[in-house]
Amino acid sequence: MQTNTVTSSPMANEPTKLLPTDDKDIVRRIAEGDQTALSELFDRYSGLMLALSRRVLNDTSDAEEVLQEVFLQVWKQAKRYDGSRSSVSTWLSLITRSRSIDRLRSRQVVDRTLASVQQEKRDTHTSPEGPGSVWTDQRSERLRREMAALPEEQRQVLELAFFQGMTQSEIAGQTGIPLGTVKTRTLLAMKKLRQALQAEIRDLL
Amino acid sequence: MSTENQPEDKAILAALEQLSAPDGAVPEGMLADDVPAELVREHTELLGLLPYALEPEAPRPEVKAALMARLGEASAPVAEKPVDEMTLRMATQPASAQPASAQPMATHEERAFDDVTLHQGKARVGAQGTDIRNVVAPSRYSARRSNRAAMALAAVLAVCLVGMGYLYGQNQQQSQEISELVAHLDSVRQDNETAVANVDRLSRELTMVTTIARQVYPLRPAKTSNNLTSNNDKSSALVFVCGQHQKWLLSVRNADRASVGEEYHLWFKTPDGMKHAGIVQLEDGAGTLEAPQMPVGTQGFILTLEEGESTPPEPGRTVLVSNESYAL
Repeated sequence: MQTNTVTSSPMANEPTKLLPTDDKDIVRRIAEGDQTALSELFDRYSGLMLALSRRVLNDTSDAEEVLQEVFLQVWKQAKRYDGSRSSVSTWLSLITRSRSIDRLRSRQVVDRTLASVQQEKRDTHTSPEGPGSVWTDQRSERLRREMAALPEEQRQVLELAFFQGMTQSEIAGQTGIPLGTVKTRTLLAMKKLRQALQAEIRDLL
Repeated sequence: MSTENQPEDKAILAALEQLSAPDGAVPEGMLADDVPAELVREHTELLGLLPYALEPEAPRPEVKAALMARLGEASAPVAEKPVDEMTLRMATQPASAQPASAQPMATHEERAFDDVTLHQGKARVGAQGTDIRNVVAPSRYSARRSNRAAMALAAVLAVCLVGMGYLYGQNQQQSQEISELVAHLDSVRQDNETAVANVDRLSRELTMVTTIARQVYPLRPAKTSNNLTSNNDKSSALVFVCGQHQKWLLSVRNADRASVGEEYHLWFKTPDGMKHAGIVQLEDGAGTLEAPQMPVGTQGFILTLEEGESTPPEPGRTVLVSNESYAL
């Protein structure tokens, strides 16, 4: 059961949500050695981080191992987290992404995974608290909508860069697209998303 | 069309670049003065939002249970009680499940951590250089390492024992082969000695036979002898004497069979009297006797029949006698 502080949304048209400050408070408690706090953070973000890791690795078993490693790292490095420089969710996302890409490279199955860009359907499990909070659901819905709104070629280069850990040169080599075009598409995609997700980004700052 | 010379473009590129930077640092010169750190931060947060586009997947309950169990082993965050992360991995994962490239993963761990601490300021935060893998390992890790060392030592000893057993077996087998070869060598050496002895004997006999005789002494029945009791009328003998009187050969033919207890003896006739030359073994009335030397001044020979096996001091009954000799 989550024990996060629930506050009213400052925006009338937004549902009740968990403020990022709650995340920081949880990390502070983790830094003090509170295992319950880590459990709360796990319940809040494990679904998202597992999806991210599985998207990178295309393997549920490996993704679950990465998930444990990520939260172990959080447990050990919580004191080093600086809330003024990053949101907790971004911190977790980047740790998960790096861990997953490291494992992906260690498996040396980049090509196989690249061939499977489309996420396969699979059985999902339901945790007692559900896969995410209302705020998470809202955020996910917004991201999916805005990502889907991107032109296919812009979404492709962004996904290759973030989910596959490829540099722009690697993307150019992999797709056969000129490097300048890759760079332009990436910039355009990022600008569009930033403009569309201003509210979400502002909540994290 | 690239628009990267705009501050926002630079901020985007910086946010992307720091994702793939080996040490999580924004490359030198990437954050120019005209790139607001806040803009980089916004784009970094934007990147952090991208996973929200994925369908959340709740992990299996076992995953959280395993994590909490590992937390129990870790017991406290690193700041209060440093725990080697590799120890935790080894304690909770089978060896086959551990990633082969631990080092690059550790590098990206630092990078991921640095990712969220760098982009607001323009300088790197050096404090992240503290590596949790360099802290003092807990005693449990040492014990596990000791156990592994003991197991490795035991394995080495086992291999040594097997090797020594194999070498001992080989040694035994080779010793047996050596013994057999030595026995065979002894046998060959004995055969060789026998062969050499035969060669010597044959050579001596050959020398005897091929040596040219210079003098011959015919022996005839001694009919005038008072002691003659045997017929021996048809018997005869010749003594061939080689050069310098060193070798001689007696050949007897048609001699009568000796009575029981009697044997034929040959005597030298010398100026000093009769001297015994030897016993002649006859078969069917014939036989030979030879010797490498003879007394100086030998004038002739007599063949006698003597009773008893011992050498008599004087000749007994004379059977054949040589009264003359002929030069060849």
